Amino acid sequence: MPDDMETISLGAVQTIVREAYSQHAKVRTRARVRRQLIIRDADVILENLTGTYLPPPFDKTTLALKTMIGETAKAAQHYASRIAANTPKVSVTPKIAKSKLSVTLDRTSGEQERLDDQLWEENGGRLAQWFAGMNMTVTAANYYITGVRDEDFGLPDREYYEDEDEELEVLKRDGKLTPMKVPHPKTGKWQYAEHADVWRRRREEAREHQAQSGRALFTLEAMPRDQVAVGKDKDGIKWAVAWEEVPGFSCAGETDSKIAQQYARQQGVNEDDVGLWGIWTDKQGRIVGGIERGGPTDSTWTRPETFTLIRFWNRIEHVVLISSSASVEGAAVVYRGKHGAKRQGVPVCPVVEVAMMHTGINVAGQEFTTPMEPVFAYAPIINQILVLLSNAAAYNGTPRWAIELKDGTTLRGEDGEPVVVENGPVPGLDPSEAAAYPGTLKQLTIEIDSLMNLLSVYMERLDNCMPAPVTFGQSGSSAAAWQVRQLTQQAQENLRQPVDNHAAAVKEIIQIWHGWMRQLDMPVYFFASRDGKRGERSAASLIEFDPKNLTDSIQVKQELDTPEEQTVRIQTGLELRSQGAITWREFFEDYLQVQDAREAEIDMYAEQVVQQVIYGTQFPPGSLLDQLAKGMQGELHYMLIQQSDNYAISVAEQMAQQAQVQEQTGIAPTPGAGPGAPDGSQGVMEAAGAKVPGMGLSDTVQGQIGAGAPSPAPVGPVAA
Amino acid sequence: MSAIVPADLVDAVKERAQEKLRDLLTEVADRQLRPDGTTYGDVALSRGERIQRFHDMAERGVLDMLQTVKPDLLQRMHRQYLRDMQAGPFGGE
Repeated sequence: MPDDMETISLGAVQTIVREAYSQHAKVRTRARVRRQLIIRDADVILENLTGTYLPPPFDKTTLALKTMIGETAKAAQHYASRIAANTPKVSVTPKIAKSKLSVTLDRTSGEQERLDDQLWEENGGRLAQWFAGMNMTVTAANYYITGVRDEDFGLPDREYYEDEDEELEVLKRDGKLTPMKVPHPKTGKWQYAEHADVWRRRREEAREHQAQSGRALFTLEAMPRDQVAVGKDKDGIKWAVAWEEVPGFSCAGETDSKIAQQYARQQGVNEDDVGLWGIWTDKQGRIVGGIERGGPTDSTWTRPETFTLIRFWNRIEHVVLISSSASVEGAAVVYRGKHGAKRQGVPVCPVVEVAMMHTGINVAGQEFTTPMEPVFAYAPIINQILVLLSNAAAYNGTPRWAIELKDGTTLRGEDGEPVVVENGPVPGLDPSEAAAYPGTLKQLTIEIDSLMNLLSVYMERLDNCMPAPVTFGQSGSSAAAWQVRQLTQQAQENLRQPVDNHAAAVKEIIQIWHGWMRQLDMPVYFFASRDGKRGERSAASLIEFDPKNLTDSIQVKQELDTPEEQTVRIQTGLELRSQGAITWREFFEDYLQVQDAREAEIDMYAEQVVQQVIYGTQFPPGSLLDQLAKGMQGELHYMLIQQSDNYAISVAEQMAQQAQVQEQTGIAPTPGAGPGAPDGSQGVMEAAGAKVPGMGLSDTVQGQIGAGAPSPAPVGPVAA
Repeated sequence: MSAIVPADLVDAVKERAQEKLRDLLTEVADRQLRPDGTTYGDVALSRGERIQRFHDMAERGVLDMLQTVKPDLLQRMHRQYLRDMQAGPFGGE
């Protein structure tokens, strides 16, 4: 398909946007109500839907509190946190014909795992995951939208030179130009260009600098279900629309508004004037643009407080539109281009859906559900009861009296009408007066028993729908450990699907990133992500990875563990390891769940060897690690002697001392063993692996062959 | 470590352990560095002290051992000793 060909007409895009927006009306309302139940903003309450309605004439009172319970917020925060608490971990599954994994492949796989994890981290995955957690909890679905930060990954373009350029000859002489003219990719004009090697080096340097300054390659956004609509076919999402409100001033000219600038470009405005353009709406609410200053005096153009920014994607293109506030009608194109997203080589829409739970049906607005549904169902009813109770309390707390005569009638005047005591003193208020009324004072009250009964019924139901107390860490101290573990796991099971769905979405996103990275013709530089096993200040080295080696054969796992479960899992792993049922690699992979098990294993053994070298008490003599440590010790000893004169003198002093002691006691030293090192633990010659004939021998023949018969070998065990 | 250990793993362990020990020792050495740039035992000795030390070390057999441990250091000390001995009573430092 030619690059400039459009895959969908603007009319079709506008129709899809309009239809999707209108179909989504219920979803938007529902999401709005739910957010109010969680955020409980008293200024903008939807009374009928949140349960804060007061019927007239009570709606005039300022004493009745429009109560909203906090359980919704508590439950939503709990579920959102549980979903996003554990970060997704990428593991590469190498596909090879041989049964054994080669070292290079193992190492490359490990590096890709670290690259993918780091991509998730540096492209804002962690923050987006928290957003996604709340979006899924409240609206039952989240949509991840990803894109390339720059069309050319922020890398320098190739330089092209005109024939009259002064530096042409110098560059040609230095070999920095192409030997022949090449066509310019945009103009088609034949020109000398920067030599490919020089350009590549510049691009590599730029990429390395980007990595060092932490500049992300891709963007990642998490949007709630009420702001995104998608169309699907058998291959997944075929188009997606996302809408969001942007402030009106963000579309003003001369404010470096990217939206206004893109709109101006779209309108074919000269590049010099692009920065001056702003966006308004005309009398009919249609989007219009123009230079901010110098408009006609009777212009009916206005700038609304908010515009609606609409983004549309299909599998090839990305279209950005803008319309006036709270509407998608008359949307005008701001930007249009190809996004180039591919997954396993196939063009895809760069929008990934994460459902909290699938309902199994595809009716618009009913595709997903959330464990919060019952909480959202009971909360408005309880709110309403509490609002009425509050009103009753306010009413009952305000004195309203009626005088009831003995026969049950009310006090009436001479005209036969009921007597209304207005502006008069409250009966019995003044102690010096004793007012006489022919009857009993009765306070007018609202009966609340029925409301209280109803409230307890609904509160009980709400309690049953809330996350289990055990997941908040309660009841952990009184029950047996296995029981708590079981209860926690059972309570967590309804979050298994959302967590799995999220991991699957991350896999899709990373595969899309792979697709974009493959378009890069140079290595990707990155700092290995931290998996928490190292200190915060430990250095992270820059890793170079060739995108050609990227594989899409990856798995993304995300755990649902609470800290308690993690402790139990690690403990189980240690027990299995101590019984020899699993290898260390398996322990690191499956039980400690580190990012790179091979690295962790190396780190562990290296630390043990270091301990052995320093303290010398770790391994049984003769074991492989013992030999390794001895070798290291020797090398270290030798290195220190070479580096430090004082150390060498100290060693010589000790050797001399030991030689003297042996001489005095008449014990011949073991040939070749030599006197000990400063710490007395190891013969320096043995440790250094040096062979010096006669070294350490007694200076008498008797001493040499007398008490200690020399062993056949001239020196002790040589380090491996 | 399990019975069958891949050679590359052993190499990697060795490399990592060397790296750790080197870092550790460098850090220890760095911490011993005094403000004037000298470390423990680095204090410059006077000519007489050097001669006395050389004699002392020779008597105790330390120089013999140093011949084995670090011959080039012994040679340097020996040259320094000769220079010290040849210098006049008021100079030569």
